[in-house]
Amino acid sequence: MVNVEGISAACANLNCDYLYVDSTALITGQSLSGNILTITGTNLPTDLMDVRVGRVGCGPTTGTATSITCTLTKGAAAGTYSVEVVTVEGIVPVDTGVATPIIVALDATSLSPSAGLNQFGGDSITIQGSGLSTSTSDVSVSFSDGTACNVISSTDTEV
Amino acid sequence: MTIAVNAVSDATSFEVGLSEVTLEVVSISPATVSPVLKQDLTIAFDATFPDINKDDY
Repeated sequence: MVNVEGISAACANLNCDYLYVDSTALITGQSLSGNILTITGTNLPTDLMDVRVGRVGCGPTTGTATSITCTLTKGAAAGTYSVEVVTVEGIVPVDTGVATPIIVALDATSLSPSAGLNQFGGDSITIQGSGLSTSTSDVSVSFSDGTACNVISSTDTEV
Repeated sequence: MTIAVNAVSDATSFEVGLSEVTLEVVSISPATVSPVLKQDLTIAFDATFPDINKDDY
């Protein structure tokens, strides 16, 4: 039985060849400035299939064997991430001992309306900012007394 | 008001102002009901009554 990272290799008969090539590529650095993602490392591949931070894709990509740069397709949700770089040969490993995780902060910049809300509920509030998520399940909004505000919709810039 | 994404909270807590609303019943229909027969009652509230909280009633 052959297992690679927990996945069993299936063989239709007893004469089954299997070749495992350990990745020579290694990501040693990752940073996000605005929506510009920069990845550094060694032997980085150029035949990239997918580059993402969390659930957000990044592209188009430009790069060399030591550096990859791309632009996130939208803002990443707040959280701590390691980049995910995928090639036809699999996921490029990240040296987590060297590469500092990417931290996306949450920055709510405006809330509207901020006054005249019905004390019994029913009013809609719009919050804008960065680090918001396209998934409503990622987002929670509450009043200081602990009362939750039901999140109806969410994008990377507006809840 | 506090917002959080993936358990990351915003450093700024926004303050929101609430308006005091008096809940007012405008009408109840029918005005008289049978003591034995099952009947529907229609209760009309003032327009300021929040209508999305029906489950709370």
